[in-house]
Amino acid sequence: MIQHDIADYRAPGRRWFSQVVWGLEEAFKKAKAADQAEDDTRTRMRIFILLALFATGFGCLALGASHSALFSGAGKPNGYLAPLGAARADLTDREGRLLAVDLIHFGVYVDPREIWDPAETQRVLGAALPGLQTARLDKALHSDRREYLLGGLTPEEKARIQDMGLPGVSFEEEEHRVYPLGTSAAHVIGFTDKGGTGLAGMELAFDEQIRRQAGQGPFATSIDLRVQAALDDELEKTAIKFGVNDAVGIVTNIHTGEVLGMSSWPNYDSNVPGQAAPYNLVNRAAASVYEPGSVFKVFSMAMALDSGSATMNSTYNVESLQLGNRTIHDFHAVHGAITLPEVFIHSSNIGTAKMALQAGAPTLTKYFKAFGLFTPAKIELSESARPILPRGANWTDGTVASTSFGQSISVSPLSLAQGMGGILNGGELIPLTLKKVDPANRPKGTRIVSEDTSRKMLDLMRLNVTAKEGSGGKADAPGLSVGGKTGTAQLVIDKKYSKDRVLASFAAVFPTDGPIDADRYFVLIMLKDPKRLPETFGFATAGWNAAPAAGRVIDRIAPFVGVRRAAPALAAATPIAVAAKPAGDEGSLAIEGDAQ
Amino acid sequence: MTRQPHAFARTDRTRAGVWWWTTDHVLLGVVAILMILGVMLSFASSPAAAARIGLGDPFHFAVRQCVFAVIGACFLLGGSMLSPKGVRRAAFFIYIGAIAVMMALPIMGHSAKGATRWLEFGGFSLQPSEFMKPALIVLVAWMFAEGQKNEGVPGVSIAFGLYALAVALLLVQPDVGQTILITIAFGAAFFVAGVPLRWIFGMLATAAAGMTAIYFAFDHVAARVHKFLSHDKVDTHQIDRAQEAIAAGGLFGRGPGEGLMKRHVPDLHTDFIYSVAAEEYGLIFSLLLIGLFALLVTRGLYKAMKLSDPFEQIASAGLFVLVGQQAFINVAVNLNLIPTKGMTLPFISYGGSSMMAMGLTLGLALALTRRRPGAYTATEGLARAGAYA
Repeated sequence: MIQHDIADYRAPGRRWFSQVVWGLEEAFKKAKAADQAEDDTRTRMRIFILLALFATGFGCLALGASHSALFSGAGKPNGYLAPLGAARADLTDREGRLLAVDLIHFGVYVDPREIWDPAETQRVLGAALPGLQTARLDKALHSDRREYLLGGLTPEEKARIQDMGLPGVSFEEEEHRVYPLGTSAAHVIGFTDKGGTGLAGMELAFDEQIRRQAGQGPFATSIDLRVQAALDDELEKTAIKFGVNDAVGIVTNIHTGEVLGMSSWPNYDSNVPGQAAPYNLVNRAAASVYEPGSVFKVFSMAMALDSGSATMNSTYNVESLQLGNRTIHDFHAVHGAITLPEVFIHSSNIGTAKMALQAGAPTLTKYFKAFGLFTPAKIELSESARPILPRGANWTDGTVASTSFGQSISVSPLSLAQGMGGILNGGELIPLTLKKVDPANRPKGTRIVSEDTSRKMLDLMRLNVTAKEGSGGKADAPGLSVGGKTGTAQLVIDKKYSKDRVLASFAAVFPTDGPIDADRYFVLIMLKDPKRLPETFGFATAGWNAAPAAGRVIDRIAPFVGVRRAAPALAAATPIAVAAKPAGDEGSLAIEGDAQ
Repeated sequence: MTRQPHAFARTDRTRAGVWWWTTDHVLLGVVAILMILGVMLSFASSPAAAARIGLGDPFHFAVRQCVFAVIGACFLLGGSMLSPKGVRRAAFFIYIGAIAVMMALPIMGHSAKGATRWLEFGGFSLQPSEFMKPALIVLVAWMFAEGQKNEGVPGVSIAFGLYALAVALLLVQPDVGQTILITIAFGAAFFVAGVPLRWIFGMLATAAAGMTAIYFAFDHVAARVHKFLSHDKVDTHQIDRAQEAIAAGGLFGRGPGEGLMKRHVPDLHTDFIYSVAAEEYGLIFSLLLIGLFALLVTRGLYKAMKLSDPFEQIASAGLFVLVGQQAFINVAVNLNLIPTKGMTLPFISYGGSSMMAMGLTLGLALALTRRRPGAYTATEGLARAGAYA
């Protein structure tokens, strides 16, 4: 017996080892014998089990391969291979019209080691890619590895180069942000860097969401492209006509806070922001602050009416106002005592200052703060600028008087839009937004004035357009019940208020009629330093430039936002503003007849 | 019309003629196709791989792959011409040689990527453990078969001894991947040899314990398992790029030579050749590749099943398991179904040792499954043999 031979060793260690081996072998044999008699079949059976396992395993691999290749979704968004930059969701306006889109472009590479004829390659590539610097091409051709030459080639450009069949020239896909509208809405859309990171406008404001939503459908903004286009167009025409320094246009839905249009002039093309002058890149609607002038009287008057320090029937002597050694002047001299609506339509600085002084600094600052004038406008844009406020917490009479008609305080155009929207929408301050708001989920605002005050302010705005002495007459779009307030603020040049250079603004709301919760839109036009033209009879005041521009914008956008045009009024026996006067508001607007 | 005589007539009694008519044509054909595909893919991936490493000749890897394929084919043909006795003899010498070289590795070996697995000579690096695998499987199959004969040979003990020696040398390198491969193949051979079921459970428990020990003993193994289990925050560069490449390939692929992954990912011409192929040639090609491997393994095991000699059964089954599991694991890693394990795709991945060893493995397997008098039972299939009776 072999096991005896193995066991026949003298060393105890070896004996132990041989016993273990013998035991193992015996156990194996015994177990095998006990398990089954038919060895042959069992071996086959077991090989068959292995075969079945492998068949199943490879079947699973086939399924896994199909899944990975067709349904995994890997590599499409945020992919390393397809795009070099991070993919971004499309930006659309509120009705799905394209504002910004990622398109596949191509980067071109050369590998000098694969090139047969460097001279020919250099000549042909140089001719085909005018944007390519000669030095760069030269350096790449003398490199010892594959080099990136140029990005952003369109499929046509790529095909043209590929058709030349140059060895060693290859392409890789890269995402490229394209703004099909060019200069339209450029400031509000903003732009990205080459790596696909938002740098300005909504591209920056919603950067994270836009990346996250890549590949999951477009990102809907509040912008209405038709409104934006009309606004851009009118603003540009007006800006050029009056030779302004810069201009701002804003259209908002005052019930939802949605910005439907936001325009800043001079503008730039979002596709090539690098080619624009730095001055043009600033979104003046959000990032600039202005001393707005008389449009601020909307805030002062709402404050006075809502706080109870004034009523529609309050009268003010506007002969003169002496504060210390400072005399407040009125543009349009009116003599004697006039009512509050008259103060509004004559845009009396003296009347407004007296009204504000009556209310007192604490009330004024409390209301201005509630109107959102002391903080940057609440909107997603990171450009939204901080206002420049008078120094000190306790305002002097002089400060109260100045701020009441929009001096000594600088706010962004968006702040004006936000505050006035709150006053005119029924009295709730609603943060502005560039995201599309679901009509069913209208945001709940913060109450800043009563519904009654809101109604009165709508009527006052309308009166300023319809009344003969009103400054907003040129904004009256037929049948749209436009209301608005002009503002012609002296520009500060060399630390002094200029005598002849102004910021002309028109803050409009339409329609002013209908119930308080009816759809209503706010339009702001601001022109910095408009020139005096013969056709404006040498005036640079807002009524001659900003107001007509606002009127034209309203006329054009009303059909887009769904505001119905009333039938043209028949030749009225009574003044138009009286006809527009809401029932049950006796006396408040009775001044037209008397004042004339 | 005179018929062109076949190169090897059935009546041809020369060595080549006999070889041709007794070797399984399906297996031969599948291996030939795989080798040709490997060479073809190497022409697509080689320029990018060469550029990454900074080699001047873009077809450095492609040309070498052609040479390896020819050498591999020679190994395969040479191996397949052996008799079962010759197979045992060859396995014995290869095992001894490989073990000797592996023992010498710590002194004269070439270290790369954190392990000493390669032997460098004349510009080529050889991985002895690749050749040890098929030799070990043949030897343990022999020992199991001898052990069953009840002639006093302590087969099971010798088999375990051979296996333990190989594992010990592999873990010194350390090469956990090969350890797992030979463990699975060894287990399969033992299983086929007729190990009782309760032993199997015991061995599975031991294997589980061993895996756990490996997990705790080797940092890079633990890191890979962690990487697989937690997809965030860790660097999964290779596997992420592989997933993107496969998805980018879709059904029809980007087109030959159009793949981008190969320009960005290291080891693409070895461990991640599947992803490169899937990106350039699409799902259709991937399924063809998986199908070829499935056919190779199932056909091989089917042949093994029908053999009559226990040694030939166990050895050929073990060898096909060796090839099959390596293909399975490589593709599964590429598809991110299991943790990353550096492993080549048989016949397709770039690599001399892998190609030659695979040629040897398949050659030995083909030799064992050749039709010889008495090699196969008269009855075909399981049913007649009574498995389902």
